[in-house]
Amino acid sequence: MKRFAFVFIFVVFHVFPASARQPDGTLGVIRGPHSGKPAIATPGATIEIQAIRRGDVRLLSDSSEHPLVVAWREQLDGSFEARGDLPRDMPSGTYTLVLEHEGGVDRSARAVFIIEAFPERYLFAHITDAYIGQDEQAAVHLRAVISAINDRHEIEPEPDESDDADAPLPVAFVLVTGDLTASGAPEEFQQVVDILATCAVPVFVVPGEHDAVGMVYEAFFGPATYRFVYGEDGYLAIDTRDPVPADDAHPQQSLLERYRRELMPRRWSIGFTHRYDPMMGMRAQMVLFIDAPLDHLVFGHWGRANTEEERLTPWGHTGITVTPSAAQGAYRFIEVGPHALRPGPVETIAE
Amino acid sequence: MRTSPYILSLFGLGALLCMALSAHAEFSGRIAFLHGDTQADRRVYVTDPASGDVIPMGPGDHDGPPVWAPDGTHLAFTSREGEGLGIAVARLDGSGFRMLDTEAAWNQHPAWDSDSRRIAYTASEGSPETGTLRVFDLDTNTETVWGGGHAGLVQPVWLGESLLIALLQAELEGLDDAEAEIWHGIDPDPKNTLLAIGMMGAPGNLSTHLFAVTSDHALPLPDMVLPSRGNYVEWNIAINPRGGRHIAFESNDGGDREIYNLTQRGAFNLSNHRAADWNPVWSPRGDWLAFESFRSGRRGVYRVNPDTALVLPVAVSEAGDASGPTWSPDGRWIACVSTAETGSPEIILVNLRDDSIRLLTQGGVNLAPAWQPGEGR
Repeated sequence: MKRFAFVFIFVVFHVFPASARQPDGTLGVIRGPHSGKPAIATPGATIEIQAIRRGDVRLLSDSSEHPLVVAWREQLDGSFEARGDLPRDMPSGTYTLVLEHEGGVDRSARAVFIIEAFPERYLFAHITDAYIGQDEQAAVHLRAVISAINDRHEIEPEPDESDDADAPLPVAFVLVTGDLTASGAPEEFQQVVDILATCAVPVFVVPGEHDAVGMVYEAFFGPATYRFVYGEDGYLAIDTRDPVPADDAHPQQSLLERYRRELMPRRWSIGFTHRYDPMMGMRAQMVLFIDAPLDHLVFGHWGRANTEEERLTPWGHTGITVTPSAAQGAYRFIEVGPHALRPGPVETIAE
Repeated sequence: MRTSPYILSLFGLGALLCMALSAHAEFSGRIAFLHGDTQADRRVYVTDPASGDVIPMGPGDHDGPPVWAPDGTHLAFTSREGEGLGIAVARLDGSGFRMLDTEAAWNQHPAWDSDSRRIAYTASEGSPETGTLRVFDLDTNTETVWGGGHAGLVQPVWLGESLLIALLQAELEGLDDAEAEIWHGIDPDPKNTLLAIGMMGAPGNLSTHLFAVTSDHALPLPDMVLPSRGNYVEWNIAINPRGGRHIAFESNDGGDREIYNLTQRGAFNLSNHRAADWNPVWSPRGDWLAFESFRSGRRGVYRVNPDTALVLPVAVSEAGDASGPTWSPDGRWIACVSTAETGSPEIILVNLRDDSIRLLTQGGVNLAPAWQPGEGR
């Protein structure tokens, strides 16, 4: 009987890994990385973990399990941060982050993506304005867009195409730039989490004005201002959900300056946000587009693509790419390479 | 999200506790600030650091940073109005709250004149490049377009006692007759002159410049008063209370953002560090300039002597960021926002003589402190 119980528990915990998210979809003990802000790393790299309790950490995939040795540091607000080195022989794949703490076990599904190496050229997908909750079609369209991205991700170059400049590029990740929901309702966010979990590649999200209801967004995805590195390139998430986007009094300004400076040595520095607006706080504009301008900014909100004339921010240094709404079935890929950033054409799902 | 009764009681208690060790004679004047977890529920409050009393101002709906009238009797701040922002005015006890009857949908950067009877601000329909400067007269309840309707003017400040225009008129050289005539035609009365940031150039190639603005004119300051020629972006003009020709401002002239001090001898780089330096704020006597800098790696508050360029730390910590300095009327304290104490933005008071720190707030998100000027106490 004991053996059966052990097997049952093993199966439950390893075959059906529960999400770290609470039953209502909000973040649990693990606050990062998570499915809307994952870590992408190569074997042997160091990852950072944020949690409201500390404990023993391991990474779990369908086929393997890897304990991590981490050092926890308590933060001023009582939360904890840790850094852990990934095993050098860690297989590529999608991993659930598991934290065993005094109160139990917490899991963050799709939290860590291990890849063999960062490619010099790659694609990322841009989705925006999904408006989940607006009507049934919004969810249908978002699922279809994710499916289209997955299909593209599965295209691999022929053996003799590996050095061909026209060979299909891997889809590295997806940026989802806000208005994830129609009204910022918790059940809408939960649906967003569930749909984005069908994506074959990592997904990074930021909020838009439709998502701005109290601190509900943070309950599902944590802080809206962050940065991540993909190979040689840096990506900066900017919070522009408010009526005065990124206003001067916002504590975000300190983060934007520090993160911008951190990313400056990168090959490309790419910002992603819900919208660029002339009413945007001047401090944020100076940090991002004037004093140390980003190379490129990806955003939505307009409901249309930017025209040929709309290639730069008004300050002249940062290129922009605007994609129409995913609720209408639109998305696009952007190619990142050593010599250029090339936004692809807007694509639309087949109805 | 309305949390004011809970938060009021929370930080009313917290403020009282924090102030328990303070002698009443240490602090003069009240401090206005913003409290709210999100932009939507930010509300202006006024607290007395000595007693811990806290008073909310107005309904609290996307309130912006509070600005004291020079006589210390009123506050002005932006607040949600329709789909845009209006200018709210209230007495320091919270009474007399009203939204100014403005024409444009978006009104920002309120600035009181030296008599506390007029407020200048930026007005637009959602694009600062097309915005104009307006002046609202509280006595006549009328709004007037200033600068002759020149578009792209933002962040006005009143010249006050500054003799900048008169000095410029005496020293201008190299201007053609038409331009010289315009400059000499300006009434040198600083009480009727604003300085503002003006957008220059076309979309795709924007920059800014410092402008002198009267009711009828908006003139870019001659290049000779700026650090160097070129298309740079200036921000945050601060007029020295001592008057004369000390005017501080930010500029990215030189490749990184610095604090410059415009004097009779020219514009000098006061902050002079490769890290970003922001937000100059003069002390009440004009003998020090507080500012923000990332020179330690985190955002911190510093002060610099404008005569010697000596820089001293005020609130600097590896554990958090500090910002938004405001001086006490006697110049002995600086209040600012700091995340180094609790991890969340709190208002702290820093004694400049012994570097001791007092925590004014505890809990939630607290921003944009403004210390009441000495006149209204």
